[in-house]
Amino acid sequence: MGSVTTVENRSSEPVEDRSSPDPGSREHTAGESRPPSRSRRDLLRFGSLAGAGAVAVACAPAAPGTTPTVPAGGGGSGGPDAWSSATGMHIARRLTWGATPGLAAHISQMGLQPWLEEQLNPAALDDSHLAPMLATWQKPNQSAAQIKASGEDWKVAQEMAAHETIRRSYSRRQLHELVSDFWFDHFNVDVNHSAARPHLPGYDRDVIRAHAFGRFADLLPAVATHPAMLHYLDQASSRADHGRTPNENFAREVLELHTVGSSGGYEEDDISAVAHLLSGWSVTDYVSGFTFRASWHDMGPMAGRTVLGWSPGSLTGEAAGRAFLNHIAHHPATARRICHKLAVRLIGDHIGSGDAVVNRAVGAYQSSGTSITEVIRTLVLSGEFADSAGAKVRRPASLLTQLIRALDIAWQTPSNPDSFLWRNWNALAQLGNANHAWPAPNGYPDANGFWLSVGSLVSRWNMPVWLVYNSVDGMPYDAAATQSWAPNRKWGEWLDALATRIAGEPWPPELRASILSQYGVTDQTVFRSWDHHYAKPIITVLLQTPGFQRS
Amino acid sequence: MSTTTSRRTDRSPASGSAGGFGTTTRRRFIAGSAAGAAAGVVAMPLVAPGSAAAAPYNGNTLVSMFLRGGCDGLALFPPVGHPAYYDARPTVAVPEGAALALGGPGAHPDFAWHPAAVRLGGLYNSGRVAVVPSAGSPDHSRSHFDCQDGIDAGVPDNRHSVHDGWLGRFLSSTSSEDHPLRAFSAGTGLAPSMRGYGGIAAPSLDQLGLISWGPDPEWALEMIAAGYTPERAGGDLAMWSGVTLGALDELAPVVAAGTALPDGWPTSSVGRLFYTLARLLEEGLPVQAATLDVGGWDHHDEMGSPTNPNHRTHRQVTMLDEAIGAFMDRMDSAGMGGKVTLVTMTEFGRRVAENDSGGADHGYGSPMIVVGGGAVPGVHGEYPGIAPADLDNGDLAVTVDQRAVLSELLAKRLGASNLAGVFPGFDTGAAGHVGVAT
Repeated sequence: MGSVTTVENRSSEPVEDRSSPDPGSREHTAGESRPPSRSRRDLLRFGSLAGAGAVAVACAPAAPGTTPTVPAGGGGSGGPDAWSSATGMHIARRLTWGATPGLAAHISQMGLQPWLEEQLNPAALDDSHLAPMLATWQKPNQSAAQIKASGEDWKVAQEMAAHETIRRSYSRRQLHELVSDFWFDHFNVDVNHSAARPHLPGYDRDVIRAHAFGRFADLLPAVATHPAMLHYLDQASSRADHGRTPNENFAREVLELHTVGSSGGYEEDDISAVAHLLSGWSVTDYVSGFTFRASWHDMGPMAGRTVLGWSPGSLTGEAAGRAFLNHIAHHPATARRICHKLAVRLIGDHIGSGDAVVNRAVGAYQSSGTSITEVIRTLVLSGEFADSAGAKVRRPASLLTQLIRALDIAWQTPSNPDSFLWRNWNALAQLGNANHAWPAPNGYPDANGFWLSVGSLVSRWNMPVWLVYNSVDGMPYDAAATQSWAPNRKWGEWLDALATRIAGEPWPPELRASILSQYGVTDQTVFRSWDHHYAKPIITVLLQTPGFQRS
Repeated sequence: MSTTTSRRTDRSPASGSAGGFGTTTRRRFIAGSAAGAAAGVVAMPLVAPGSAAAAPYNGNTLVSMFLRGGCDGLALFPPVGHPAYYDARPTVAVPEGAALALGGPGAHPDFAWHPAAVRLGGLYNSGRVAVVPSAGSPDHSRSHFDCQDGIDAGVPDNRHSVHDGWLGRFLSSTSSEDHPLRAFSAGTGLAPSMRGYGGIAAPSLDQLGLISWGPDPEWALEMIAAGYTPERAGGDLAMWSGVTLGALDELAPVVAAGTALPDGWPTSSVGRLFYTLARLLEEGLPVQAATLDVGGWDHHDEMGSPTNPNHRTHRQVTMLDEAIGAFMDRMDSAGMGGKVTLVTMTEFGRRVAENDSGGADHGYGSPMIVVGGGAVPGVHGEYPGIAPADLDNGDLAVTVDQRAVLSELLAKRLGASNLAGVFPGFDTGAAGHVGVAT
């Protein structure tokens, strides 16, 4: 951790240093405990002091053993056999787009392993109920030519986002949705790239989703031959014939981002060689697919060269490029990088690339011929996974669907489809997490610290207001209807039902007490005629509690 | 909760002064919220206790702008006096006749501005801009991500040795007085250069206020504060919620004054970010360090004609130029033009020779531009030349380490005295000062 050893002056205020995310020491160090009656000012003070270390913006995950959903004791900090202690709620929060108490109970009853197997076979999960919901918008189902012809290709971004919010909220194939999002980030294409944009639905549908549970060695060439990526990274126009210098953008990112990583064992000169190797990988025209233009191809310095342990031998042309991609898909550096990134997504950013669970996943990747599902099985069925409840801060997109799912909002075909389209888009754009709009090829970051800031928290706290108060066209919510959850029409039972049925855990006691006091009632108070007006603010308060921010 | 105190009623109007940390309200806030320590963040000395709190806030602001993607200095600030420039760029070079010549106290015949950099050119000619055309980092990788990480970390030659950023280390080590708005990232996330310090990030003023809802907004805030304990939220969320609630207090009057862009303000995303920053500064909030990212510089192809406003590089330069111009106008109107200093950096320049797609691939040496308070007008640093024999593997060589420029700005503008801690491993003494600022 180099120069950030800020040991001085911390004696009384322990702060976890984010730079040493050692799971073994990931016990509660974020601050001294305080009596439950802490005041707002105390909290501000705590906030200050926790930040203090700041060199270590304190990054402790919710402390195991202190939140209701964390398994007591856990399974130890590792080992492949210690996974069975994972609770239904933890699994539902981490491996879906939003936990509900019902889903958590279902998983608990079914068991993690059978539930995981069911999720890893999405074709067997009936999603036919989605078709009428998705039918409002057609661009995500269309070809690039159709989209271009519509004259509204700019709408691709919003329509894909609408489809994704619907699928994430209502699909039974939750893990497939989650892992597809991971792969899109890994092979990111920015929807704001005008040449790539009309191809983005096809890319997401035919490449990312189609291969999300397949083999990495198949996914990689599918990405590398899709016009969305070829346009995005300037490969479509790259030619090496007649002494031309091919464009290096794609070649560089294939190595640095898509496969072995910047410390994977290649040198600067290798980039130029691989750019030559891939020269001629192009498209037929702006709306069509991949074509290899032999007349643009020249192996240049790649001929006779060895890159990452591969040399072309007598191969040239498209076959040489494909052989190279297949080689680096199986390269040990790729195996480790992919497994580590998946571990960060599925377990948390406290997992290091040399951790035991990553080692095991690398073994699974290599022995299975780059099977993505084998890696996922290894990572999820682990003590590290079981121990990681609350370790991740939800990214904004995940918070949105968590709230929709917690509220159990039923989809209703919007009377004004554009209204939903834009509100859905803006909800995430404001939080810097609009679908497919990360402006660089490395995809949205998967690190807790990135997603925490003042602006982010304000928008996170505002998001429930948007859903509960502003009756979204397409996702209307009737807060007052929750009064029917209290058969005796008493405040106490209603508040508890809200917590149980929406959050899946009890109210923090001081919040519950404050609500009763705020509305001048007790547990035993029977609903007064005007009390249904209080459902919206109280449910909003519930959705602003921190349990919704973590997974 | 009995603590729906006089949070808002005890607020005095926002001070119009940029200097000093404190209106009475803020001091009270600080004392009340952090038990005499500091609000927002209490920073820790990095080097040695005693050497740290050496930079009390002097009312100046440093705005660190990162042009992400690899800004082509040869387009933005073309070396029109070097014939090799035109040899290397037969189709996309800026013609000398179209470029904006350098006049005023920093007049220089060898360089000029891109035709779209009208405002920067004007500021330059009035003696308010310093340019270092061949700056860079020791990282030769030409990787966007490695180079950006290294520069943000302030340790480009050993970026994995630290987990925080150069501004974060500066801020953490100079905490004699502290304030939740001392560090501000205009954008959706905290800038990586600020890592290690609990700064505030938001792209727009709208995101600095809670939607008013329900019968009692005060109560809503109390409920959030009560809910985000470290036990329930985890240390990171608890810390951020504390900082956020404190900042909302400070920001309430700014947000209440309106969040819409004024007529005529550039509507680009960078324009919006600059407006957010301008509002905080002109309201007297003591933002000592700010960051602002401007993406879209990765011009591998179709740079287009330097004189066609619809073409790519022209549009990009226009976007940057208009935003800087509007911001500096606003600062001047507020009487703060001499207190606010902007500095730009980018991860690398572009290759000197254009490629066959009408763009330029990743290169090396790149410009740094210093605008505003304290800028010493002129072209600074030894220029390595761009004739083929002068190039570093086909690229403009680097003659000035970016850390030398940043060190000088930290020392001269913000009074930093702990540069060894800010840039570990970089000999700020031996590197000397480039002379870009006073």
